[in-house]
Parts: sequence; C-alpha cells; structure tokens
Amino acid sequence: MITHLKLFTTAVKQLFQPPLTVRWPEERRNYGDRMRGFIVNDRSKCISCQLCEAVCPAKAIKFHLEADGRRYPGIDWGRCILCGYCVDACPTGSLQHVNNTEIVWTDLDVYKKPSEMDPDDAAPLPATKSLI
Amino acid sequence: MDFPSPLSGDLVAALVFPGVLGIFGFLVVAIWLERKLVARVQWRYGPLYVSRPLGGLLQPVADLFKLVFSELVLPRHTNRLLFAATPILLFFAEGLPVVFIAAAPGVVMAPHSYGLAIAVVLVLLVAVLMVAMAWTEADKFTYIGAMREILLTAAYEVPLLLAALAMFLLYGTADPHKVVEVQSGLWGVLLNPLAFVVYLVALLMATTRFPFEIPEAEPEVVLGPYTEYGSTLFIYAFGANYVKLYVLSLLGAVLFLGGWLPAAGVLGVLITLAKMGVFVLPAMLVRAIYPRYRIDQALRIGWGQLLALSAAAVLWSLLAAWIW
Repeated sequence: MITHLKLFTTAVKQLFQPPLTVRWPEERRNYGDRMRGFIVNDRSKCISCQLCEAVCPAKAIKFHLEADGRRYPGIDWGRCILCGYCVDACPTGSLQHVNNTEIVWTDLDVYKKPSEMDPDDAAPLPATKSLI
Repeated sequence: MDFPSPLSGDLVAALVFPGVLGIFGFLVVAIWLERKLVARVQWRYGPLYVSRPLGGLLQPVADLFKLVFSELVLPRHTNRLLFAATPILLFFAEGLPVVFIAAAPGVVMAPHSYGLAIAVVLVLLVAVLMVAMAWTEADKFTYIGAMREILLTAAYEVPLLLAALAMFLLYGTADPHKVVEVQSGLWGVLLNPLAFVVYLVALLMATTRFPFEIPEAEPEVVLGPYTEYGSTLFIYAFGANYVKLYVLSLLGAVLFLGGWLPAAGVLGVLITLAKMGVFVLPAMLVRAIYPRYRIDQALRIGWGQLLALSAAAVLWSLLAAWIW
C-alpha cells in the first residue's frame, strides 16, 4: 500500500515538470556556436590543395571541376560523418562548420552528387507554421 | 428537477448527462487526457498539433474521423453479421447501466428502487459479449485475449460485486437517490474505506487499465479481443472499454463520493462529473506508473487480497449497520 502511494506521488510530481522534448520545428535547441554542423566552403579562400580530401576518414570529399577552371571540394553527405577533420586540415580556413544540422534535400540526385554546399542553403530553415 | 419545459429530467439524462453526449464526450476527453497525462509524466508534450490553443484536445476527434474513413474489413472466414454486430452491441451494452444511475436528483432515465444493483449486474454481464466478440473474430490473438478476459473477469467480478453489496448493506437501499441521501452526513468512502479500495482496484481490472492490462497486452497478443477490427468497428470495440470506465466512475461517484451532494440541479450534475474524476484520473495515470502483471499475479490479487478485503468490507458494513 505504501509502495503504491509512493508510486502515485512520484507520478504526480513528474506531472508538473516542464517537458524535455522539443516541439521541432517551432522550437529549436540552442547547440551553441561551436556546433559541428554542415560544412560550407568559401571559394575565395580555397586554394584547391586537396588536404581535406586526403584527411577525410569517410572518403566523403571529392574534388570536382568548376566553370572557372579550378577544382573545389564537394562533400557527399551520404558519407560525411561531420567529424570536422577537413575543417581542421584546411590551411586557409575556407572550409567551415555552420551552426545548423537541419538541412532537407528535396532531390535525391543533388544529395548523392558530391558538391559543395551553398552557404545560403546552410542557413537555418525558417520556422514552419503549425497546422491549425 | 426544474428544467425548461420541453426538457424533463429523464430526457436530460438520456441526451446530455449521463447519456449520449456524456458518453461520447467522455470518449474524446478520456483518450486525450490519458495521452496527455502519460506524456507529462514522461516529460513529453503529448498530442499538440491538432488544435494547439486547446492543448490538442481535438486530436482524438481527428483520430475518430480518420478511423471512420478508413477501410472496413469484414473477413470472409467469420460470421460476418456477428462480426459487425458484436462490437456495436458491446459498446451500447457497456453504456446500458447508465440508464439506472442518477447524476442529479431527477436526472435519471429509469428510476428504480434497485437501480444501482441492476447497474452493477449489467456491468458484470457485459464480459459475455466481450468473449462473444473475440470468438466471432476467429483469430488466435482474439482467442487468447478472450481467455485472458475470462480469467480477469473471474478475478474482479466477485470483489466488485461484494464491494457494491457492502455499500448497499450499509445504506440499506440501492435506489440512487436514497443512496446519496444517506451520504449527506458522511460519504461512503469514509463510512467504508475498504469497499472503496476494493472498488478502485476492481475498476482498474474491469476496464483492463494498466497493471491489469492483460487481455490486450500489446507485446504478447497484438490487441487481444480487438485485434481484427478496423475503421468504425474499432471505435465501437475499443471505445467500449472507455464507456465501461465512464459507467464505473459514475457508479463509484454515486456509491462512494456522495454523488451530487452538496448541490442539486445543474450544479449537482457538474459536481457528479467532478467526482468522477477521482476514479478516472488514477485510471489514466496508472498507464505511466505500472508495468503489466503476469496473469497468475493478477489472479492471485483478485482471489487473494482483493477477495479478502471485499469480504472484510461486507463484514464492516454489517457491523456498522448493526451499530448505527
């Protein structure tokens, strides 16, 4: 009897705790500035040294030829483990993490093709409205 | 009771509370409350997206709509008429005891001097329909569920009956109005706390709430007696359980908590509704508290402690009535 009363009082106490879960997408957790989110490349700083490709443990980075005649690192997001080795290896700081892990690909081909992420695409999504 | 002229007490009882509107309203509110309470105990939000200002209250309504428009499957190997009829019968049979229970003075469909006793018996008889439903479904899970239902019924039936009997002996009547009148001094829960405890546990068993959620144990027998149903028939089959909870809470409120006292009329109805919460809220909350008992454990509780307690409650009542 005492045990059951204890169980009930515990449950009632828990009832008034604020929820821990996040109502995504209206609510987002703040992960801080040093979050290892998606990786973007600043082409004006990139020197195409290929160190990032060499250091990548998941073999996610492939260099591809762009219209300006230079090669840039493209990341296969199906392989990337967001470890950040490429960011550390980058001698000019052109590869950078963004504070965002919530990116949606609407096209499978774009997702599969190793390409750089446009920094604009890496901006956080605008909050979606609720249904009612 | 004085209502506007076209509305007499029994009409209000039949259409509003404790009748049709009460039952269907309870179905929606109880399902919402159950999900919400369990979610809050587990530090979640619970249903929220449908009707955010109301805290997701319309989620069960949306679910009901979804169920109504989903495909209705009547398996060929069953007796299809019975297959479709039994859940509907079950639903309304579970609601039948409401006819004899008063929610306020005069607000009763069929006033009868043995009203509450008839209600108790009707509640206990419905287990037969549940077994019939499981049998017409012709499925191994429903069969196992039905067997478990029978075992559990055997465990709670006698204590529930004895708990009610203890109160009838104490009050010397089973007329809902007189039962409440007798309680104008002290409520039944104080006059015979043993019977109240037995009634509460038997209520959890009868509505297969969590520690005794044995017939529809999801990891073991899918959904027990309700397994084969979908669409509207699922609403009737599964809703029957909530209707039973509704009926037993109403009965408990009248038997143990003084019904509509200390008010009468519309306020009395509201008070009865609030007192039902004393039975409904724990029944919702246990889902977040307890794991499931094994069948033998539940039976041991039913035939052991609960039966002993209910017998003691009857003795207590006899003594109290003798002294009184």
